[in-house]
Amino acid sequence: MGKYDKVEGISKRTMVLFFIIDKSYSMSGSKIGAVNVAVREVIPEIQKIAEDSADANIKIAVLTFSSGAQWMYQSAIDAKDFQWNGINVDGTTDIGQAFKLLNEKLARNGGFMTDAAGSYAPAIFLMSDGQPTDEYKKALADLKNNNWFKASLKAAVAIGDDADKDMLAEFTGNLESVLIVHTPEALKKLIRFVSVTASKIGSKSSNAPIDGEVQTKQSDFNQQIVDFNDTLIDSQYDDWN
Amino acid sequence: MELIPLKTNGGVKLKYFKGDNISVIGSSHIKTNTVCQDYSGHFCSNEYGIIVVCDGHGGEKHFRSDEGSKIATNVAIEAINEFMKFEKNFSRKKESLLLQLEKNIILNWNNAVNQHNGNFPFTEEELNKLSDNNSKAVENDIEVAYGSTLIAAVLTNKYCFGIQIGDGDCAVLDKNGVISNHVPSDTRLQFNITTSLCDKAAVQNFRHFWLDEPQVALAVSTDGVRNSFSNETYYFDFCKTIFESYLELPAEEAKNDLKEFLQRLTTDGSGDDVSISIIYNSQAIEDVLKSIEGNATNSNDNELNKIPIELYKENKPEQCGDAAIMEDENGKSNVDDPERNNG
Amino acid sequence: MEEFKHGQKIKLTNGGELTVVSKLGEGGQGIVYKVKYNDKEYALKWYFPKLIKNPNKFYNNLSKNATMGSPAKEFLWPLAVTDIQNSSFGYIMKIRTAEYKNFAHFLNAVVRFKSTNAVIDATLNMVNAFQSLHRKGYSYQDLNDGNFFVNPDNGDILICDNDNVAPYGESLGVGGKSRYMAPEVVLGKTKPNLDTDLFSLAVVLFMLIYISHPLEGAKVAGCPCLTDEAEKKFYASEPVFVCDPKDSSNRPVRGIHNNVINLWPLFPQYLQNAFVRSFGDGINNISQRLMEAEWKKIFLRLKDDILPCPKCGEENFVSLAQNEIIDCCECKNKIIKPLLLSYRDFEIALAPTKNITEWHTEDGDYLKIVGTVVQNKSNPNLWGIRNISEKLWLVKFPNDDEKTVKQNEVMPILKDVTISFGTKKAIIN
Repeated sequence: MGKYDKVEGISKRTMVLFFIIDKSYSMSGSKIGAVNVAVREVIPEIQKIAEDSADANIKIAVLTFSSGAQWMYQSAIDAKDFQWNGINVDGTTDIGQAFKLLNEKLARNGGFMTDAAGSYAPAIFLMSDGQPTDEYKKALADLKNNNWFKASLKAAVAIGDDADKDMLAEFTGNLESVLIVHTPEALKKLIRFVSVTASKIGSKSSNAPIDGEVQTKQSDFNQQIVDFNDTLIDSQYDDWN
Repeated sequence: MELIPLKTNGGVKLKYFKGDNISVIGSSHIKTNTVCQDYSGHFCSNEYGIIVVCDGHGGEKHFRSDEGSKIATNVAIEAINEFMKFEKNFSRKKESLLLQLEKNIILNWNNAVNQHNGNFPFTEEELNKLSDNNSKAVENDIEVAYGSTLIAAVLTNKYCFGIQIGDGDCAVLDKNGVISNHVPSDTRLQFNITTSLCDKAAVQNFRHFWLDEPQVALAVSTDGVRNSFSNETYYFDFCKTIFESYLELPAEEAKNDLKEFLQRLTTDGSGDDVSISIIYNSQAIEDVLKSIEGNATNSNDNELNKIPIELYKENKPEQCGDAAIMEDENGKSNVDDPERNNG
Repeated sequence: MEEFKHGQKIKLTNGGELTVVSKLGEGGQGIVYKVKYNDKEYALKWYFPKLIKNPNKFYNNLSKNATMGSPAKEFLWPLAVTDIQNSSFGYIMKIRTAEYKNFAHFLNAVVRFKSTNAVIDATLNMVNAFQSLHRKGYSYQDLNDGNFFVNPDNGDILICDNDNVAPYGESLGVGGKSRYMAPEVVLGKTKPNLDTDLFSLAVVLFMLIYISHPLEGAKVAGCPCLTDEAEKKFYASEPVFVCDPKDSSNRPVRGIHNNVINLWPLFPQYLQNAFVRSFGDGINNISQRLMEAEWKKIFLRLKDDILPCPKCGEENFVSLAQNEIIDCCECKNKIIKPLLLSYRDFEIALAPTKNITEWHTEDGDYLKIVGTVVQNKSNPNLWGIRNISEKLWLVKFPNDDEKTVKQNEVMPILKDVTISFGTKKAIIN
């Protein structure tokens, strides 16, 4: 066996789970509180999924936006090593900036999609509570041309009734993967469910021939989200207290 | 670089070309109780060597893809052996030659798959496991249930070529010791989408290459191997290590070492089935690897000392040229081959 | 051979002079340059010396062709020949513009026709090209996938590499590639002529429509390597049509010939019959090969037959209707068979976007539209035909009422109405 002891570079395939989080001023109070708690708590669950999986490693990348946008860390980080930095609110809703930064990092050169991370399509989870305050349409169009984006699993949550659901549906590509929540409890439950499901589906490998349905993972994902939404107990109206 | 066959005192020749193939079930397949869907094979003669690996698709609809990959391997080796008989026509455009070979393989695979299905029609049990849509799809298009990728490559002492449909890799070791992949890439192949022998437009999804210069060794592997390495350089280094191992150790030992390593590779890496098939020019490879590594071992002696004497007898063409040597995941060969120590 | 440099001057036999601008490309026979002549840009094809078998004969034929002029707009024809220089020569032609795509790209699925209408226009253009060539007394000698170009949007074609076109009976020694050349030429029995061109025409037409070769199916795929002998067998001495009703040994193969498999059933019987004849009896029996006029009739009939699906827009054929219903080949919508404008020679499906042309009304130009089906703006289920020609139409209703329809006027589409276009009287039914 000696010969093969020197073989280097073995690594599991990696899936990257992106959280894109609105931290504009309107998210203050229980909205951002729910987000902070829910994401911090779901990360160890995601790591467990990766460990159980045998064929995937899951990395996490967090992008926040308000006046401008920034990544929480300069690279996607293994779920087991990820340290959540509590998010504070400020500013407006420059979602166009977020789209632009996401587009930059959904790439091999200079992006988060390195070789190992290229094996699985990423999963992208967008959460916002308001209307965009910058010119976002061009950035979204550019993003939609990005091949990684096209292949990724997408979901979005409209936090409260003031959120721009049409824009979120434009982002995910269909209305089914956009959910609305009205309370912190519902928001927390949804964040957990979407993160866990995206990680499970996204890290499954099964070679599918090109003739067949390429969209199976997204439609499977949508179906699960819709089913979950039916069971979610939530108020009809915004109640963020 | 002249490629001279080895000679012993008795004046008999060792084969120019040596090869091996191995498929190991993926660690994730073991966990989910799925069969190994990879298959591999190789063939050597004095004139050329053929290597093949095939990867059956996961997914509900492709419930006989393990059979499909086995059929693909056998079909490819048979077709290429027929193809090589036309060597004097190889001055034609290589593009047309390979395209015709690919068509021939698609046809033969279709026929073999349909014949299998004729002898063993889909059972109720198999069809009940599928959704209504998938069940209908498969009954109209039985090839889909057997779908598989295919990579095949041939090495001679003047040229080499490779054909590929679907994911997987083909590595070529040249006389300067450099390893590279000459198969044109298909940008559609990412995120587990692959092209396949069961594609309706399969003939358009094949890619290929032809090198008119002597090469030293070739390796083909299914995507489970490459996906276990974080970049291509590590994968090529791994290929080099395999060639070195086969050069330095007797065939049986080299194979066992590789098999053990592949089990570790799938567990620590992709989790997928892993298959490798290699072919090398037994004289040339020694020179090349020695010159890079500065390896002072006289591997000629090792080989001569460790392989039993009867193998030196000149084999009749039919004996070497016959059935391909196949390997399943238990390491059992399906053909008795006097050249290999099956124990 | 040294390549020409920018600014280099080359003399033409007509006394004129070219200036070389840049190199455009290279082929097996020679190099193509962009040149300027009389302030306009052209392409110059310059042959590699010593590659031509009979250079004098070739040069003379080329010069004659240049003088005679192009037989039809579909031909990218030699306009002028150069003086002999450095043991070689060349000719200039128009530059081929980018909207024309090499037909080989259609076969590789890199390019696709935009619509069925474009396909049929391409076939009509090809028939016209051959007809014009023959009327001028030429025969085509070297048609193959690489030397004609098609505009996928509208079916315009451009036939290039016309260096080998020669008068009947004369041969420039080009054997002609098996795939397009008539069997009797491949087997050495005759030289290229009008009848052999009709075979090549049938092959090209089949390929334009089905993007696959009529003689390539399971039998050919069963061969791991095509030798000269194998090609002779499959394309000349023992050819079998892929859709031959009596011989199924060469059927199209799944995964290889999927275009034929998908498209063959989508076209009407009369087209299928034409190909069955061309590649059945037509292989050995020259009289069974369709002439250009016969092909033209078939394709004009196909044009009239086209019916866009009101739901998805996909083009279907009215003559495929069963019990007055057409199942849309794309969306499976059940389309009710529309009324047809019938005459002895034609039957036009009357649905929005359909046209009546001068060919229908007075055996004139099929490209000149004289009438078009329109929808009533307030009631879209009410259709009529607008006369967009300058000629007067006479319309007679079932109750014997008569009406004239002048330019821009519309007449209603109703059963048993007749329209007289000059001497021709067509009926709606």
